[in-house]
This record gives sequence, structure tokens and C-alpha cells, in this order.
Amino acid sequence: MPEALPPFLECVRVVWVYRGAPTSAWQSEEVQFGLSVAPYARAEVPPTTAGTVILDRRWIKPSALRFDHAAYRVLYGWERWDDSDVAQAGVESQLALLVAARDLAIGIRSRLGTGYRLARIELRPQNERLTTDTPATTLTPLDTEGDPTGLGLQIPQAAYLVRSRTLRRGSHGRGLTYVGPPSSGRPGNDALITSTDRSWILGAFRQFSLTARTPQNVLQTSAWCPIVWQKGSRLGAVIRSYAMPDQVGVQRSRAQQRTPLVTELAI
Amino acid sequence: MATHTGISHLYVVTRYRGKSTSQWQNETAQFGIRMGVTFGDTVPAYSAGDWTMPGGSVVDASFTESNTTERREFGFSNDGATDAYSLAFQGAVINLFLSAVTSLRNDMAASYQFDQLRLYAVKGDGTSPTEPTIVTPLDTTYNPTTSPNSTLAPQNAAVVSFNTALRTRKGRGRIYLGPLKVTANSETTGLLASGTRETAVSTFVTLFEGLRNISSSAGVAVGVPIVWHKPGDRGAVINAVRIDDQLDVQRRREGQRTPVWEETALV
Repeated sequence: MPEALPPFLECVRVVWVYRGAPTSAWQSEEVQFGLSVAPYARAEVPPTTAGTVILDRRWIKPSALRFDHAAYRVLYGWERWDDSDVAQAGVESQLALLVAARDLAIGIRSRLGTGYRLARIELRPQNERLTTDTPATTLTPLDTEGDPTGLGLQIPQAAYLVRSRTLRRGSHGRGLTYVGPPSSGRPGNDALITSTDRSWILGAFRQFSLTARTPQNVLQTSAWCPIVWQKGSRLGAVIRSYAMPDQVGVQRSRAQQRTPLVTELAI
Repeated sequence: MATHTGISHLYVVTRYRGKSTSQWQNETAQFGIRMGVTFGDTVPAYSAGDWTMPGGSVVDASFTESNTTERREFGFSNDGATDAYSLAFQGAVINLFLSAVTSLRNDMAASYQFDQLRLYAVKGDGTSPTEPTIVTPLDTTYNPTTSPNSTLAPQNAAVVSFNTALRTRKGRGRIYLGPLKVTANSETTGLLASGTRETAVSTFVTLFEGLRNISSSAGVAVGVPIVWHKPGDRGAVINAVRIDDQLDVQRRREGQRTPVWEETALV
């Protein structure tokens, strides 16, 4: 019998998951947004002008490691083991990426609707066929730093649209993620998102990406390149910029959707 | 004047348009109600469920109200004649819908204005053989009364459902009511405000009851609100109005505004 292949990844999906607060009507609902990042050794991170890049396979193995911080806990779902000196760096660079992701959540919290909480941030390994069965590495907040602090809550299906742009043409060169729910007070006149708010959110995405691209681990060996991933092709397009329209978008996929309360009047 | 036979029912469309001073000036939003018409026939009970509509014919007409807003393009009757009574029936229908528009104006978006009522005579195959009767407001009487900045994103709408005694898909209808004012969404809960829900339900119940009671003021013709399932001359008699506490998404909008993008580069 052929030996089963160990799990591998081409890139990692960083996913920010928000859940309705226990006191809110949306307590059972979750909304999320994500970005893809590909692992690179320090000298290899492609420039933002690279356009399309071929992704390496990185062999990984499940992990039971755990890291406790005063503000959060990290449970490692996987580690890299494709070369031994990177194995430890793989763990550390995951942690660095999660901390940068938490900073993004803190950065945009004033633009998001209250009534939701940052439930967790996940690093989900992705491969060219399907998402691996390997558990995600998960950061669980132990404080409220990442929770939305907006003026109120817009409806949960509303979202800011964040477009990832690359030099690759076509649909595989563009990414789209739905960030929300927005704060109720954020859209300005005519229900449009102000330029200030758009710049604010895009700035947080930019900072996250720049941090991810810079090696943060002790050995300075690993970094993450934000990409638009084309599943099934081993190709990615290096993200060059982020853009947002002034109209509120629609988040269609929400987990555990709440059952509405119905008012009925017979004639 | 041409006579068109085989008319199944009337379809009344209430249309809103973005104000010329707003960012949504090219967008329209509308909802439509269908009704069978009886001419001295037995008015079906609310519990009737599926009902064979008597139908009728329409006669082309060109009748403009001298002092207001209406342009009537057809008369509806059971004998092919355009007479004062069929015009009176049409006038009564128009007045009831204008009353409904007035009732809703405290909950609609400030960036929009009431644009038109359109009455279509519809055949069993869904086509309309005549031009619609069009009612265009000459002033701001029917416009939303909400404050200038009170506009919820136009894709957010309240779904108002119509129930019948026919317990299949053919017996359920719905409309998307919007765009709504900002406070139609409760910013503390992210739910459709109870006042807006109650107004919507009571408005349509009043409208439907009024249509069924037209005979006392305009001869013997009566409008019976229905859920139509084409093709054919059968409709399910509406007997209840429902609304839930969550806002929904209206995906089809005419003349959609082109968004303005903000972009942040990583370099």
C-alpha cells in the first residue's frame, strides 16, 4: 500500500471570527472574515509587485502545543516540520501572525458594531485540494481588547467590503472579504461610508500585511506574504493594495442564523 | 377605443426614487400588490384559499385628472364599457394606496421620495395589454418625513409576508419594503424596530380591508388582495400580514449607484 502523504499547506487562511454577545439577540450567530497568507523564509518574501507566484508545499504535523498570555491563549493545531530548523520558527511565526491579527481587530474595533465580540482568530492550513483536516491554530481572547466598540449595531448582514488587489489580471487576481457587522453610527449622509472610516479600516489591513511580511520570530526566518489564493492551482497573487467602496455590502454567510420573531395580524 | 379581454387581475406598483439631491438619485425601489376584482359577484371569504377570479376586460382610455396627479390609461369593467363607475373604482384603489404611502412615510428613508403609483391590468399569461395608469405626485405630500440624514443602506429592507389559507408555496407572497430610515434598525439590538414593524403590518391590513370594502363607495366592484400564481386566473386570498424582527436584503435595485473606492497600497 502506498504510504499516506503527511498533511501539507500551501497557504494559511487567517480568519477573524466574531460572535453575538451573550446578552444580545445575535448570541448564537457568528460572522467572520479572512485573508490568505503564504509562508516564506526571510529572503524569499516576494515584492508586492510580483503578481502571480508559485506556492511551495510546506509539510505540517498536528500539534498540541499551547501558549498562555495574559490577554489571550493560543492552542496550536499544527506545526511545520518540513525542515527542522524552521519547525520551532513555524510555531513562533504563527504566534507573531496571530498577534498581528489581534492588532488588526483592535485597530478596527471602533468601526464595528457593539453586541458582537471577537470570539477567536484562527490560522487554517489550506492545500491545493481542500482544506486539510488538521485543526486550526486558534487564538482565544481572554480580555475584551479586540471587541467592537462602535456606536451601536447595524444589521448583521451588513459589512464593509475590503477588496484585495494584485497585479494579476482576472478574477484570480482579486480578493474580497466582508468585514462586519459595522457600527450603526458609521455610515454618514445617504448611508455611505465616510472616507475617514474607509481609510481607517484599510490602514489596519495595511499594517497587518506589512507586519506579516516582516519576520517577527526569534530566528528571523519566517514571514507571511498576503496573497489572493487560487485553490487547486498552487498559485497565489501577491496583494499590492486594499480598497473599499463607500457603499455598505452584504454578508450572506452567517453561521447559526437566529430564528426571527414574527409579528402577524390576521385581516 | 380598443377593448382587451381576458384580464385576470390588477397589479399595483408603488415606487420610490432617490431624491435628486441624494447619492441615490438614479435608484428606484418598489413593491407591488395584486388584486382580483369582483363585479357584484360573491366576494371570497378570507378562508377561501385558492380562488378563481372572475376576471374582466379593460378599455383603453386617456383620462387625466384635471387638478391632481393621475393619468388613467384604462377603465376596468365586466362589460367592456368604460364608465364612471369603473373609473370610480380605479380612483378608490388609487386613494387607498396613497393612504398607505402616507402611513409609511415616517419609516421610509429620507434620501428617497415617493415617485409613482402604477396600475397594470394583467392577463392570465402575465402580460399587460395596455399602458398602465400612472399616478405621479405633484408635491412632497407623500415623501418620507424623516430627518435629512436618516437613510439606511438601500439594500436593507423589511420583508412583509402575506399569508393565505392555501398552505403551499403558491399561497405565500412577500414584498420588500424599503429603503427605510436609519432608526428602523434599532442600534441597540440590530433588529427591525417594533414601531416600524407595527406600522408596516397595520398599513397593509388597512389597505387590504379597504380594497375589499370599496363597493360601498364605488359601486359594486371590489378589490380582493391575492397571491397570484401564474399562469392563470387563480389567486390565493390574503388573510394575514406578517413581518419578522430582522431586516432582509433587497438584491434587485434599478439604476444602481456606482460606488466610489478608497485604496491603500502596501508599498
